[in-house]
Amino acid sequence: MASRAILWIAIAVVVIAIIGGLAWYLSRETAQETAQTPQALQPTGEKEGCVIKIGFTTSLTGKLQKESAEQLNGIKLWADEVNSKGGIKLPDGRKCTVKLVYYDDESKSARVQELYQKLITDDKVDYLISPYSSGLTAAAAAVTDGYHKVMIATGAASDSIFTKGYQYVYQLYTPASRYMTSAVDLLLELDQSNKKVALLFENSKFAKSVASATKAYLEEKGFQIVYEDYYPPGTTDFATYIAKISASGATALLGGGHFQDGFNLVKQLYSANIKSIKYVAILVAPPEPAFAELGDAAVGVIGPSQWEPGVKYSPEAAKKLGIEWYGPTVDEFVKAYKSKYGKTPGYHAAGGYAAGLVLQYVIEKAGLDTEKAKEILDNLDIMTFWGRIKFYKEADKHGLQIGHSMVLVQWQKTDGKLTKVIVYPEAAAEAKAVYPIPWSK
Amino acid sequence: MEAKNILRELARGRMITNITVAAIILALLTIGIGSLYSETLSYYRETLSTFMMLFSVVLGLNIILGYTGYVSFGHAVFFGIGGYTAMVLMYYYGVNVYLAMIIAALAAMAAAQAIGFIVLRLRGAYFAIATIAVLEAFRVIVSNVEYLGGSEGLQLEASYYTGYSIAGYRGQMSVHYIAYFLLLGTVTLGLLLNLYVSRSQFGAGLRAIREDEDAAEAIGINTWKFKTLAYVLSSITPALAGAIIAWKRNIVLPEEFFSLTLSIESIISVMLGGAGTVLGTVTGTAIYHTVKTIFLTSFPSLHLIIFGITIAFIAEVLPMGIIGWLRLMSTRLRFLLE
Amino acid sequence: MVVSPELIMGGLVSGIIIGSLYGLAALGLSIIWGVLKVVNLSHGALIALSMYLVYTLSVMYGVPLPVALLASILTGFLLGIAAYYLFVHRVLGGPELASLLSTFGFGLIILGILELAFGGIARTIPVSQHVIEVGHAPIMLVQIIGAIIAVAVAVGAYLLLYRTWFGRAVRAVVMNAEASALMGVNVVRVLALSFTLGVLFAVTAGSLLSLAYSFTPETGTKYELYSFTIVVLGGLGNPLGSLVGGIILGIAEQLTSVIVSGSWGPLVAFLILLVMLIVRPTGLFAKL
Repeated sequence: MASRAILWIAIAVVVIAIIGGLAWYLSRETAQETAQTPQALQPTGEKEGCVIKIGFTTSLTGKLQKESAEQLNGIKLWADEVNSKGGIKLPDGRKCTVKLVYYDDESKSARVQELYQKLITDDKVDYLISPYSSGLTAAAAAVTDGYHKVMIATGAASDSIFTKGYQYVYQLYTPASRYMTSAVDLLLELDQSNKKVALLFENSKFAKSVASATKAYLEEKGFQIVYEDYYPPGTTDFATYIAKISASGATALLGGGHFQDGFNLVKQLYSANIKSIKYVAILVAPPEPAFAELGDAAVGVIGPSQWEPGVKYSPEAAKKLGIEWYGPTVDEFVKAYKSKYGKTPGYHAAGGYAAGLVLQYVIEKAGLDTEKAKEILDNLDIMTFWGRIKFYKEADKHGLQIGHSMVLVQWQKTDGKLTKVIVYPEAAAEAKAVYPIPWSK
Repeated sequence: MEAKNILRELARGRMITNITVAAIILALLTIGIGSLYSETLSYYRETLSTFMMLFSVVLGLNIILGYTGYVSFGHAVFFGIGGYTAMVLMYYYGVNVYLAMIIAALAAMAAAQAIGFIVLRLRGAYFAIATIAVLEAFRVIVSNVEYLGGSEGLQLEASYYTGYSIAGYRGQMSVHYIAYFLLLGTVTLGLLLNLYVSRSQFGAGLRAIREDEDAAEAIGINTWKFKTLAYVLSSITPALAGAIIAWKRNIVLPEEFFSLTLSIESIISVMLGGAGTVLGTVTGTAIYHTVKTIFLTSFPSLHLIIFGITIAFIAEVLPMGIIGWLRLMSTRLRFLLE
Repeated sequence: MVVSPELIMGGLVSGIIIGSLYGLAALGLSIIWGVLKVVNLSHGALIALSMYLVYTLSVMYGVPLPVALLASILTGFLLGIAAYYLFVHRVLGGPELASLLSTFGFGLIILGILELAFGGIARTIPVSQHVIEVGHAPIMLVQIIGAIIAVAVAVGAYLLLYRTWFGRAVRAVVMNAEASALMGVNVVRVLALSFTLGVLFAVTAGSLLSLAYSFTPETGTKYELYSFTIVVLGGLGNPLGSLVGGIILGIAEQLTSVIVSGSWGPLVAFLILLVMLIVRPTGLFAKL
C-alpha cells in the first residue's frame, strides 16, 4: 500500500507542477504591464525623492577578484559623492539619488549572463556598468544590448566586443589595438636607429590581441620583427625564450601578458644581461606597485597604463582642445579616494569612477530616456580626470573608445629610490624616459 | 523477498522514476514557457540554463563513470569539442544552430570513438589521468590553432542572430529563450539515454564491467565493444550542451570550453547523487548547484575551503552518494530507487 | 630564424636543469602513487603551500633563508602525517574515485587558505640573481643548486627504499600487505610514513622552486600535471626513474620551445603521457 501512496505523491507533484506553471503563465498579464510601462509605477516629479538604479556585476570571488574589487571601490566612491550632494539633477528638474545594484559574478561568463538578465528584468535598473575584464563584458553585452540598455564598459580593453554590431555598449578603456602603440611611438622618438624588435607575448586572449595590433603597427612604421613567440599561460621559466631573443640580435623587446609572467620575464632578462637590448616594454606588470620588488631589474622597464595618479589632464588642457571639461580634477579624485580607502587609486579604481561619471553626465542631459542617452553618448567628446572620452559612432565599431589614450610609465632610480614615473606622452610626462635601459651599458 | 515481489517492486521503481523524470521535464518546460511571458521568470530561466548545462555533462558522464565505472576526469573535452565544432560551422559557414548542434554531437561521437580507442585500454587511475591529459592536450592545441581562433577564441557577430525568433522575441533577444529550450531538449535526451542504459541488457553488461571487467569478459561480454559504445553515448549530451552554450554566449575560448573545473564539477555532482543511478544525477546536480550558489554568495572568501571539506567528506563518508546510500538502507529502497 | 647548434645546446642544458626540478616535484607523487596506489590530487597545492611557507618566514618575518627552508620542510612532515589520517586512511582500498576526490578536496582546502591569506598576486623571494650562460640561455645559480639537491634527494630516496629496514618494509607492503602484516610489519604505520615521505618530497620541491620563480597559489597546478607524465615515464614509486623522467620531459619541453614555439610546450608533456600509457604503462624503469 505504501508504494501506492508514493505513486499518489508523485502524481500530486506533477499536478502541482502543472498548476504552478499555469499560475505563472496567467500572471504574465500583470508582469507584462509593469514591463511595458515602467513610468506608470514611478511617480514623475510629484514626489521629492526618486532613485536611479545603476546595475552591474563584480567579481567578489574568482581569478578577477583583485582588479574587480578596485573597480568596485571606484564606482562606490562616485555613488557616495553624488548622493552626498543630493543626487543627480535630471533635465525635467527632479533630483534623483543613485542606487547601486550589484552581484558577485564569480569571474564567470555564465553567471554574468544570468545576473545581467536579473538586473534588467527583475531589478529593472536604469543604466548598466560592465563587469571587469573583456571576457565577462562580451558575455554581458550579449544580454544587455538586446534589451536596448546603455552599458558603460570599464575594465574591458578588447576591440572585438565592438565589432559585433552592438548599439548600446560604450568603452572607456583604450582598446587593445592601441595598448602598445604608444610604446612604439616613444621608441621612435628616443632612437631612430633601434629597429630590430622581438615580440614575446603570453598566449592568452588579451595579450594576443595586443600583440597582433602591435605587430601590424611596427610593420607599418618600418620596424624589423626579428623574433616572435607566444608563451603558454602560467610560464615561469623563460631561459630558452631569452636565448632565442639574444640570438636573434633584437635591440628592443615588447611583450608580457599577466603580472606574474611579466615579472618573471623581466627578472630573468635582467640576470641574463643581454647587452644588445636597449628598450623593454611589458604589458600589465610595470604599473603595479609590486613590480618594485624586482629592485634593480625594474629600472628602465616601460609599461603602458590606462591611467596614473600623476596624469596631467586638466580643464586648461580641455580648453586647448576646445572640448568640455567635466567632473573632479585628477587631484580631487585622488584625494577623495585616499581619504575613503586609505590608498592611492590605480587605473582599475579610476576606471570604475569614470564609468559612473560618464553616466552622471548622460543622466543630467538625457534623464532616463535610453534613446536620448544613446544620442548623447554617440556625440560625446569631453575631458575628465580619466582623460579624453569619445566613442566611435559608426556601426562597424560602434562604442569603441577613440578619445582616451594610454600613458607610459617607467621605473626610475632617483637618489637610490625606485619610483614609477610617467614618461609619455610628453604633455603628461613627469620625467624624461631613461634610454637605453641601464643594464645594456 | 520472493522473485515475484522483487519484480513488482522493480516495476514500481521504474514507474516512480518515469514519473519523476516526466515531472522534472514538465516543470522545466512550464518555467520556460512561462518565462516567455513573465519577466520575473527570466532570472530563473538563466539560473536553470546554467544548471542544465552542468546537468547535460553529468548525464553523459554518468553513463561512463556511473554505469561502467570508468573515471573520466576530463569529460568536459566533449563539451569543448561540441562547442568548437558548432562555432566553426556557425562562424565560417553561417550554419544555423540546430544543424550545428547535430553535427557537433556527431563530431563528438566520432572523437569519443577515437579517444576511446586510446584511453579505454587503461583502467583505474591510469584512465583518469589519461582523460585529463586528453583534455589538456585539446586545450593546448585549440589555443594554438589560428583557424579555431587560438587563444583569442571565435566570436559571432550580432548580425548572425537576426534570423532567430521565438514568441515575438527576435534576434539577440530570442537567443536566451531558444537556448533554454534546446538545453531542455538535451537534458531530456540525456535522461532518456540514462533510462535506457539503466534498463537494457546493454546497461547490465556495463554494470558487469564495473563490478569485475575480467569476469565480464569471461562470461562472454565483449567488454571492448560495450565500453566503447558507453563512451560514445556519454559524449552526446556534453557536446550538445557545448554547442548550445557556444551559440548562447556567442564566444568560445579554450580555457572556458576545455575546462578541468567543469569536468570536476560534473564528477562531484555524479558522486553526490550516487553514481550509476538515474535519480542520483538529478539529485546530485541540483544539490551541488544550489549549495555552490549559497557558498559563493554567503561565504565568498571561504568558499574554496568549505568546498574542499565537503568534497573530502563525500569521498570519505558517502562514497556511494545520496541515492546510493538510501538504496543501501533497505532492500525495498534498493528496488524502488533506480 | 635559424636554430643554431648553440641554441640547441642551451635548450638541452636548461632542459636538464629544469627537468631535474620537475623530477623532484614529481617524486612525492610517485612515492604515494607507488606505495598507497593513490593519485594524490593535492600534490600541486602542497607544492604551492611550501612556497608560501618559505615566503612567510623569510620575507615577512625575516627568518634566515636556510632556516626558513628547513622549517617549511618540517611543517610538510607534520602536515603529511595529519593529512594521511584525515584524508587518505579511510579511502585506501576503496574505489579510485574516493581517493581522487578526497585528496582533491584536501588540495582545495589548502588553495582556499592560500587565497584567503595571500590573494592571487604573485610573490617573490629575493635571492641572488646570478646566472650562468649556456648557448645564450641564462641559467640561474639557484636553479643549478636546486638541480643538485634534486639529484641528491632522489639518490637519498633510492637508498632509503632499497638499503634500509624501512625501505624493505615499504616494498614488502607494496608486494603483499597481508603477508607483511603477518610478518610483523605495522602496515598502517608504513603507509602513513610513505604518504608523509611523499608530502615531504613535494614540499622540498616547492621550497626550492620558490627561490627560482615568483609564484601564485595556482603555480602548483602545472607541476602537478607534469608530475603525472613523469611518474608514468619513470615508473611508480621509482625515485631515480622520477628524476630521469623529469629530465626527459624538461629536455622535450625546452627543445620544443627552441625549435618550434614555447606555446606548444605543454602539449609535449601530455602527448608523452598518452603515448607512454598506451605503449608502456609500467614506465621506462622498474616500479618500486
